[in-house]
Amino acid sequence: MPASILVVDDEPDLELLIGQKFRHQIRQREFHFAFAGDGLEALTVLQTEPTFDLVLTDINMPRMDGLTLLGHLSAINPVLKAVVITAYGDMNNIRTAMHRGAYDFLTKPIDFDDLAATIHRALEHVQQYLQVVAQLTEAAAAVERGMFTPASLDDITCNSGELGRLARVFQRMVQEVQVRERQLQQQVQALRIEIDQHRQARQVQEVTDSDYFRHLQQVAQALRSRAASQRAPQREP
Amino acid sequence: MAQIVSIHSFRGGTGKSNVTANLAALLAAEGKRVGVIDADIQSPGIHVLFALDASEVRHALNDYLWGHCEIAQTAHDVTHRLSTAIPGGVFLIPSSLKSGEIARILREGYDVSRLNDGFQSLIASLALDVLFIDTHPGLNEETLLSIAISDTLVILLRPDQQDYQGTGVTVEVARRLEVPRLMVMVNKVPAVFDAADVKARVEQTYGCEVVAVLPHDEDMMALASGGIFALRSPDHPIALTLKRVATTILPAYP
Repeated sequence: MPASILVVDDEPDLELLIGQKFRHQIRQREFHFAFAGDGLEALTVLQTEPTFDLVLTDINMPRMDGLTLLGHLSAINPVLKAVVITAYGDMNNIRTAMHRGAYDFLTKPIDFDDLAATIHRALEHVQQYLQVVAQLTEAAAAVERGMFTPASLDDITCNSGELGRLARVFQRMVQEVQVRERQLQQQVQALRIEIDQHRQARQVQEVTDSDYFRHLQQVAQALRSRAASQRAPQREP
Repeated sequence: MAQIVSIHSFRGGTGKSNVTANLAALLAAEGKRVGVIDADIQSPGIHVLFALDASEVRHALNDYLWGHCEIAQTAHDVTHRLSTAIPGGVFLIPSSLKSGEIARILREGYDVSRLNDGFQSLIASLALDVLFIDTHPGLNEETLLSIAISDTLVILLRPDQQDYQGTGVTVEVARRLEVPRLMVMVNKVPAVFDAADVKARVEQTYGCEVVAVLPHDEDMMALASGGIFALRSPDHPIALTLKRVATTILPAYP
């Protein structure tokens, strides 16, 4: 399946140029390009076709500019990457774009080799992200099956990003639950009541084989006889 | 006829005093006159559950055993200290809380037969319906005497290997002393266990009735001996189970 890229620009020339420069990748079904003339149109396209991997957008456009568009992207698709095209040296817009979650920026005039490299890098980033999400989802399923091994997340936990942190917390929580489960299993095993009969007989003998115990037996018997005789008249009508 | 009920466990920490105090209070709440003897002379503790401070103890069981006073003088009416007003009465006979006196009784011993005389005299003078004896863990002389003269022996144990062995010894000794009623309570059972399974296994092992399987409970632990749980939380499942046990011990109740 080709990587899906939405190009947002009010200059129709860019559509022609991209068609030419990426002809080979389009034919090879490596890339699929779609085009929108401004931010508003781009939003409509993204909402109706949520399968895009990358947005390549100009900044100055009618109706909705590229910076405003950036602010809406994460709500539509949090995995979607955006690359912004700005005028050379337009540091203010570049900074704003990066603050609004742009993955990278390119300056005009567009260097198409640079654009191809940026697209590849952004798509690779998306792939890695999706792979980590898939690994975490698989880990959650493994927990449900009782087959989770904490080491299966080791290569994600060293990531410095949000998913790395999620994996670390997930791994730690599952480890804690596993420790508790092991303790409970030990307790369940502890209910196996095992009595050493020889030892018990010896312990009973130590207690009962004495004059004191024999005396107690007599005391108990006397008390019970007395109690029985006290109760007996009460049974008479 | 008053019933003498010994509450015993082979090991410490089974919740013996707590169960004793709760059963006593539940029966008193039904109008019974209940005596509670702290026969754990070496490590007394049940007074805390009845909010009796050491400074308020006029005469302790130790004073009676040494012949310094009558047994009736050692009885402290703690009924009004319970969190709920109840129609019956609870009379606590505490052991001395003074470390010197505990050391002395361990060192010098005492005439164990005086205990029996004291129990009988106490029942008569206080017109008790039931006398609970909170025993010392293990099987020392006063514990054996308490068991011997009891109408009912309630043995507490936790689901713990050492308890299983010790409980087996106690059950066998109690049988040789021909205690009329022998009951087992399993306490502090982790939530992971199935109560019915625990009951069946313990009954099969000891051949005697298991009257209750009480879970390890955070609510009860939170009270931390700060009162009688069954009176403070009367609708709690543990309180209801203890009520059922009290009914079993004294069939006329409620």
